[in-house]
Amino acid sequence: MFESFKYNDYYVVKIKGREATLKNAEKFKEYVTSIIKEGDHFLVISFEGVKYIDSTFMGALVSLLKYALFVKGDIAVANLNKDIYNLFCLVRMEKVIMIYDKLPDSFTGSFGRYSE
Amino acid sequence: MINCPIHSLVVLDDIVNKNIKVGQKIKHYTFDNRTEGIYPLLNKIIPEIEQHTRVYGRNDRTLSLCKHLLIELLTNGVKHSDADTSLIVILLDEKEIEVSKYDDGKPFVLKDYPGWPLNSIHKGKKLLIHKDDFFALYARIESENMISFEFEEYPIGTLNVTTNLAEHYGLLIITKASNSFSYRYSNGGMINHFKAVIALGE
Repeated sequence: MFESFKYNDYYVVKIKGREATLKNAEKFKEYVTSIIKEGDHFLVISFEGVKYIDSTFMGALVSLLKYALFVKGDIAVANLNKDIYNLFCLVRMEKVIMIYDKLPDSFTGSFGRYSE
Repeated sequence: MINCPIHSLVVLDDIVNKNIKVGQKIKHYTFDNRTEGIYPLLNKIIPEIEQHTRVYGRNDRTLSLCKHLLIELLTNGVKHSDADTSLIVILLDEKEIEVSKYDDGKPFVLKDYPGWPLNSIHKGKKLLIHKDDFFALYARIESENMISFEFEEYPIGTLNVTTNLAEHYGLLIITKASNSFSYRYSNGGMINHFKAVIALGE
């Protein structure tokens, strides 16, 4: 359902399959929470190959973002298709979660959250 | 005749007899309210809408909005309706796409309100559904059987651990993806009807 690996200064979580929905949202939350608990606090979620996302999965993503911020980490997303990007923009999530076109060379820290 | 429960036939009959406008095309689908049924159904409905929007020269964004709106209406059926099936009705014409979901499950719950029918004395009143630091979603009472959904947005500043950020986006997505979004509860027939309209040509 998911796979993860260390990439430069952050961890990547790849969603395997075409859906990021009600069907896998709870498992996704558990999977990412365990990675954060193990000490990897900066993550990029890759949506490569994902065709659909729903509000349940988006809610899970926001819940994980809040947890990552709580442990002084952060979560970004990458490889969104046009529909998914449109949805992020529709609910202004592009102002809350950093969006990369593809996996970045380094995790720059969303929106200067760590500039202080 | 379609293979669907009796309430669907009553609803369809009602739509055809009372509401359908000249030049409007009607498409209807039965949804089994199971997670596994969402994407196969979406793959049936979207090409029909795509074909329609292509005829009227509309853009990809309209199609994308329709997709998200449908995903959320169907997901709402799975999560909240407590009904065996829903009827999805799409009305298409050159001006708009109207997407409806009907079921005979549980009525929509309005927090801090006694239930349906609503009190007509409260017509026009806005009831809060969710609120966080970035948006608020409201139900406006239109009549004793109907509400419409509205949202307000607030500026998004720097996020930190104290930011109040909601985790419920379903109704917000439908409200923002459409030009109007409403819910009607028919007490006599005990039918829930969610209706979203996307105007074409914008």
